[in-house]
Amino acid sequence: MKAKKRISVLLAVACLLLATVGLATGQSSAPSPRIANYDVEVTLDVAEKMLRGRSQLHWRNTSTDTIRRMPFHLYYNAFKNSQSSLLREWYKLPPYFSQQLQYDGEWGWIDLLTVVDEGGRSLLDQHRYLQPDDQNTADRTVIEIDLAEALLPGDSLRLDFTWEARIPRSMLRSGYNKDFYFIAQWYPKIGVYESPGTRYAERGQWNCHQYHLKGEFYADHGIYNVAITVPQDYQVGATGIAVDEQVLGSSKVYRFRAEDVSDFAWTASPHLQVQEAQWADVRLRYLSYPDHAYMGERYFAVLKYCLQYFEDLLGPYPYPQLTIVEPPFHGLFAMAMEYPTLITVGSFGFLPRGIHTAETLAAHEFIHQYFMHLIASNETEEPWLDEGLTTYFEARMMDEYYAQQNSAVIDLLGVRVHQKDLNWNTYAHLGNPKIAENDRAAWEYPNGGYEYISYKKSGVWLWTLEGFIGRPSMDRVLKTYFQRWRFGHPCARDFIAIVNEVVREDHGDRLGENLNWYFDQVLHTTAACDYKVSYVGNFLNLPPMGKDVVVDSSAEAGSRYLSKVVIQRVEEMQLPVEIEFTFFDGHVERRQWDGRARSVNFFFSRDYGVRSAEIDPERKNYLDINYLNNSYTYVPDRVAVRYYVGRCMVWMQQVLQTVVALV
Amino acid sequence: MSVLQAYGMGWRRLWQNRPYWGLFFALNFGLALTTAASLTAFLGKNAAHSLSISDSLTASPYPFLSALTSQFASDLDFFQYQSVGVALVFFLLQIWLLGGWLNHLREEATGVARWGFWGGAARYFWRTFRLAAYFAVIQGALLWAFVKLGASIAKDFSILELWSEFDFLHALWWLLPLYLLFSVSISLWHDYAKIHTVYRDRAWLTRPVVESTRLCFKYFGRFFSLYALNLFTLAAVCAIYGMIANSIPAHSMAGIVLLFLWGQLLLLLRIGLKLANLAAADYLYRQVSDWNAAAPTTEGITQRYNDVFNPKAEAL
Repeated sequence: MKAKKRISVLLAVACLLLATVGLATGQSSAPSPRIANYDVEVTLDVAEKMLRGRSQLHWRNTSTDTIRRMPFHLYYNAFKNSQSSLLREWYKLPPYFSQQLQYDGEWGWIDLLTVVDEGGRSLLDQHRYLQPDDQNTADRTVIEIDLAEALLPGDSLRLDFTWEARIPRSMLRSGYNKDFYFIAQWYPKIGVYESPGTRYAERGQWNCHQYHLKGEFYADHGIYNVAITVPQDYQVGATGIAVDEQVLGSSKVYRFRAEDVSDFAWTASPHLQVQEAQWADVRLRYLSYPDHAYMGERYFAVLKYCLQYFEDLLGPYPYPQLTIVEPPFHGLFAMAMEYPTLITVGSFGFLPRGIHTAETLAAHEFIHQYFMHLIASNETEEPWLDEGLTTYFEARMMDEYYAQQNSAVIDLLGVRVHQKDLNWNTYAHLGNPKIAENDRAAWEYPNGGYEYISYKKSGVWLWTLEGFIGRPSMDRVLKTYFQRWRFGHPCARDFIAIVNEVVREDHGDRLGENLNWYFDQVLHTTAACDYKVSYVGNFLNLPPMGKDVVVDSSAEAGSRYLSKVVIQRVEEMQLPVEIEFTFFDGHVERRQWDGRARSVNFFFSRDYGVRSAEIDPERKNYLDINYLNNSYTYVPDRVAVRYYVGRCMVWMQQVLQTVVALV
Repeated sequence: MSVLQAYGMGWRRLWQNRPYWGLFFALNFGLALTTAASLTAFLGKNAAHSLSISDSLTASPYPFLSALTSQFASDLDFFQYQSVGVALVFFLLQIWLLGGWLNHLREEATGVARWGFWGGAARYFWRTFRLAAYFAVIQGALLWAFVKLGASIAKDFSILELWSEFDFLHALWWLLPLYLLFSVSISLWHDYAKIHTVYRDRAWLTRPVVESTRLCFKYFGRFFSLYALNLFTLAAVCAIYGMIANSIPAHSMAGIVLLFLWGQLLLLLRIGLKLANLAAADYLYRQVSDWNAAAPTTEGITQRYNDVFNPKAEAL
């Protein structure tokens, strides 16, 4: 009986302990696995431009492997000297950066002072710097530390860090200028342990890449409790929500808590002003310098639309707050970035009101809240998975948003330009559409390729995918992808599997057994797409002539015209093609072609000839890099030519008359 | 004598000499037509058979234009070079004709016949050309100075140095009007220098320029008011053009023709404005200057003409 009672007490204590641990990390009902959790205290030294911090990492081994060493990102070391991989990749620094870096005081770095485990053992003696990507031994952005004691599957570990970081001046994403601070990638951050089956891992492995010029981040979700000490007159904005503010002498301590996020960024300045708005349960908080306060309402309007759009399409935004930071002109290096629950935007006072690029940028960064924060794909290895989807949604949402207002992303002097067309033009014309495959790691793209391919090409082929499978199926793909991988780490294979699954259910074999033929081309090759109507001809259908003719009594023989249309595949990509033929009597006929041969002829025998032939009449295929040759009219459109010639002539006359103002 | 009187006189004299107005317009039209002709051939060959050009009239023209400019970038370079060439030819011909116009105005107003329009065009070409070059240098220097000033206010748009783009934008509120004031004043000075050169009929430009400078300083208020009135007319004409041009639908041949004709009307008015401005300035010049005392007499002119073109006349 006594033993039984003792067991009961022990069980009760065990339950209580488990419940306490569960409550502490919030695992029981947490939306994310909460693998990497941080408690950080940091002080901003504005005189020395230093961060002095202590952080505690609570890390859970959710794998089936025993962990003996751990890699950490030390991102600030990318700005430590000119030998870091990031600065080497910069190749030729913009003048203002190279100029400033000539002075020692402008470099940035992070020094680990102590790393101690729960047993009080110092781990810093057993460390090494890793360069998994480029073997640049001078790069110090990844450090690996041996654990004193192996961490068994299912176990948790706490590590205590003390560190100092010198804030770089006006550098990539993070840094300071004058008294504006944007602090991102600033604390020792653990890599991601990928169990077998996670993404491409065949066996357990750490994924912790160096900090590159191109490419962003990859991390586990967790809870962040961050206390930031700044001078008393500084306003702070950060990931998560502010839970406390406390004045301590000439300083002020802001405490933030963010749950189920994969990173933490913050900004501080004495000049930041705050505006707030509410959408459902989400508070929108806009931080800007006073001269940009007028943008607040514009951002709120577009972000409320985005929040509603994604709630309807994918699922609710799960955080209580979204912070929007507008860096001042002298802080532009921090512009256009996304962090969990915090985005940075950018606008210029001289942009006319009809140019909505600032709103589009805000929408773009917000979309990243879903694509790589909630769905934490690996931005460094597969940038298209977040940038492509974000570019796709950016065009989709913005074009619909401004269409509702009878406007466009650019609506100036009677000219309207849609975001989808802008993205297409950037892909097809401004860059080299064949510069690289779409499946490269971010840092492996050649010059310019990262932007053109991982952003624009991906966005364009996702639009094309939607064209082939239809908007309802596309929505189902995206919703399934979101619901299945929310707070997870998917890879391209997972996305493609969902596309194939949904397309099979919705379309059967109409588009083939699966869509791998499509992804093989758009992802793994540099092939471009260009189909062309190269010829339209109409001929009188003359009766058979000459010696020994055979009388043809078929219907075709009685028709007045024989028409021939030639379609060509100019580039390498092979996609199904729909062609619309319009005849002179107004009759319209559509034909399908598998798009594989280099050339195909279509013949018609009718009483009326072919007036025009048009490839992809509904413009589903945005991958086609030449829009001009997609159609051919038998009779040229002289009216349109005269319109352009007339406009150009008047414009030329105006120029001439302006030039002679000097006479 | 009022500025308004001069303004009205300028337009009256333009109307009286409308064939010359037509001549200036024809020159502008004809030269622009050369680029239009090659553009017609280019579009006819490369775009007229594409539905995208038709679609661009009813929907956003951006996809068509972006495709055209990227697919035929090298062909479009040709238009660029052609346009520069045409502008250069137009510039020289305009200098030539303006000499004729100024001489014609002078002869008409003073009743002293010399070389007529075409003779004046030939006689004053080189002087008007040099004046245009000198004043272009002055305008260039002014622009350079203001760009430097703006850049220094904007701290060369350095992300490291400039606090806010509004520092620059706010400076534009005074920088731009100030620049326009100086630029317009130089244009005004240029016009009176041309007029003075024609009245003085001197081969060397130093004295006419110096004297016209004095004149401009002395009567700056009147001269500038006339100029401002003409600039206001130009702004009004352009605003009306813009408002109406944007409301003309260009989807049909009739709309396209209407839009084109409306554009020609604007050009006609712009050209007329330039000529009327010179006519009004000529009127104002005669009101305020001692042109009669300074101008060569008919006898003197005949003498000089004979000196140059008919040296045996005196002997006869």
